[in-house]
Amino acid sequence: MTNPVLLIVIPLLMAFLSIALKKSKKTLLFLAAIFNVLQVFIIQNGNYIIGGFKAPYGINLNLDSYSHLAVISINILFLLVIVMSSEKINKYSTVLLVSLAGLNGMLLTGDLFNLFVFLEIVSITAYILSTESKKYKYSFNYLTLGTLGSGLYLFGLIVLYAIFGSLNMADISSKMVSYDANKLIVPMMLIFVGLAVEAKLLPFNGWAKGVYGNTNSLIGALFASVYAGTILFVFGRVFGQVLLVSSYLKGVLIVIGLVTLIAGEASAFSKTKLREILVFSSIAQSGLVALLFVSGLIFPAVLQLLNNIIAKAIMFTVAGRISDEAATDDVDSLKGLFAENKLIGFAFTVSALSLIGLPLFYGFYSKINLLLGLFSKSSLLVAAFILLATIVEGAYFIRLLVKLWDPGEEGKESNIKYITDKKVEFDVSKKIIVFALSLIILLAGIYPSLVKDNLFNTDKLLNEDNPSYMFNLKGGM
Amino acid sequence: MKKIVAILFLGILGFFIFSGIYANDAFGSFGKVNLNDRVSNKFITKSVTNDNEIVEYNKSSNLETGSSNYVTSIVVNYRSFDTLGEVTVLFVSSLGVALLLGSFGGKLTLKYKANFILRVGAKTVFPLIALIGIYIFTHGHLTPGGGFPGGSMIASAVLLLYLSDENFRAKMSSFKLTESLMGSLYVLVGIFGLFTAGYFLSNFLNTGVVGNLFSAGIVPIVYVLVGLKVGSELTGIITDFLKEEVNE
Repeated sequence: MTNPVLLIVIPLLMAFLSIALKKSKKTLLFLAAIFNVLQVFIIQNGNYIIGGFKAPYGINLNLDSYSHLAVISINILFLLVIVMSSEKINKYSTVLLVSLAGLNGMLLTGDLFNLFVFLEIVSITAYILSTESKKYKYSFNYLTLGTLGSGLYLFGLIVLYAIFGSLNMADISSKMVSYDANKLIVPMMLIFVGLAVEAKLLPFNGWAKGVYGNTNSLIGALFASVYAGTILFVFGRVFGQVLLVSSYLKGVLIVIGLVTLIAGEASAFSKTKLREILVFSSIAQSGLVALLFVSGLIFPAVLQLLNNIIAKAIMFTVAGRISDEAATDDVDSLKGLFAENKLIGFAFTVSALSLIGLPLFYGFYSKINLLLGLFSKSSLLVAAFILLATIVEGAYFIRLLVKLWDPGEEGKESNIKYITDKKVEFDVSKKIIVFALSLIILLAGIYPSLVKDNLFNTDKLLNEDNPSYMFNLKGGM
Repeated sequence: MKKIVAILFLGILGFFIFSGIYANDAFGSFGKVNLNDRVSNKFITKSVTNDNEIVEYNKSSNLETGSSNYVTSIVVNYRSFDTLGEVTVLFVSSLGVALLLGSFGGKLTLKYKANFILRVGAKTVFPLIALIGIYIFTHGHLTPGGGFPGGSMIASAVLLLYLSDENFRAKMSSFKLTESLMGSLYVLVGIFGLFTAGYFLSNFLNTGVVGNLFSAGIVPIVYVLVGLKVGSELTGIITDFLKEEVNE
């Protein structure tokens, strides 16, 4: 049995069952997550139709090397995140099961309306999970903006359906080729806004600071790595491969991405709370990845996206745990914290340095790739802005690391007696997983060919400069 | 001032959206659209997998979807996966309501004592409304309606009981059990199709003659499951909302 639809329906089945079998819902969650992780390695690439109706008429799941990579990384990260915070998940087991189904659905589906349904499912689970912090105002903000955003996505989709008479991604993509792209600016813009709310791009990310800034280790890691990764993979699918963006609109979207990147990094620089710094770093990274996808640089965008979600899984787990235990995440009151938790400190440092893009870390490989890609497209101005943002990013991350490692005042003698009196204990599962993830970043940084050979050689899709989605869809049409 | 700016901004935005959609030929004018370009055409002629055949009410048999209601044939056959998704949307919403409101607030006490006629009347209409709800979702493949409206009617009947009698309490555990069972069965029907016919949610039963009550294969089965599930979920939401407001 190697049908990818099982990635969606097995968690869903477990979710329905977990209402009746209340006592074992946590077990069901782990069963489904482990099943999915095993399943993603068995499934074969291809086009899987549902209900027996061929592609533009029924719904299909499209498993190509792009979505395969996406489901592999998202399912593994999901499992790791719930294992790391397994003491927190009991109340939310059913919600997490539904979200696992929805996330896989978003990544796999080859139908724009089906994508909307799964987007709804995933965002509702996100609203529910965000109430964990008991800051209901922020959850309400998120709910309002998110609902409005998915409403706009649906509106844009209705217009596209009215024009093309189809909801299938490949079908719309092939019909768009022979259509004047300038006439499609309104539906494209609506769909963009709908996805941008969830992807935290600039004018639409007002919810992110409140929600992310109050997360614990479970929700923070889940949002910043699993959810953010999924929505960016979907963004890359829709705007990098399916919809053909006119050159005028492309300019607008790239500017939005750039502004998000620079404003995000600048805001992160000005923050003093650990989780807020990480939120704005996440926002900046979303902007960067989105702008790469829109530019057609799929391969560098995926590299950067993986860099971000692995690093953020580590950092938000650590930050969430710190704020759970120490009841604060103000960096100044956490001085020298890592001196007593060296393993965790090591992992956090590796992920921060990888996000900056220093050599020896995986982030360097992704950053050099994206810069080379931009140079080859002669987008020198964009590359210059990205480098500028990197300097800001480097400044605040290194300042953060120095404070967290070095007990005592800046520029003064560091002494063990200045170590913060806040005690933060990390349990074994967190230590092991966080450390293993940081080793992956290091290993992939030293041997980048490992990443390239293992992930992308099976299919040329990601290496091609501007892949067109429709030619990739085998059979069924 | 802020409001005026907002209204102005909204007006400009609306103008651009409106003109962007209607000022070009994006929408073909009425009657000018080539139906063969649109997927819906084949939904109507029920010819996605076969060639065009004339579909006759009460005569044609064993079509790819046996539902005489077009909407149902799209919602529960061609795009059944979306319906499974929508069922999940409602499921997770009711779960969210339960998680949020379940922990606080006592039982709501009505400010009035319902009079005799309301109490007896509500109990009399309850089975009738529930029966119509059941009729609507069992006949979803023949007449307008289906699982969602039918289930909502059942939940509205329960609401009526709540409003007329403050001592009435729905047995939530049995509703939860129904909800769980129906959802699981929907998925299992799909997985059964995957094992027998090779496609998730494929219609593995004989679709019968168009227009008969026993026709359309798994469509009525799915609609009964959806109807019961929606009914129990909405009842759960109503029960969760019947709590005293808490001022924190």
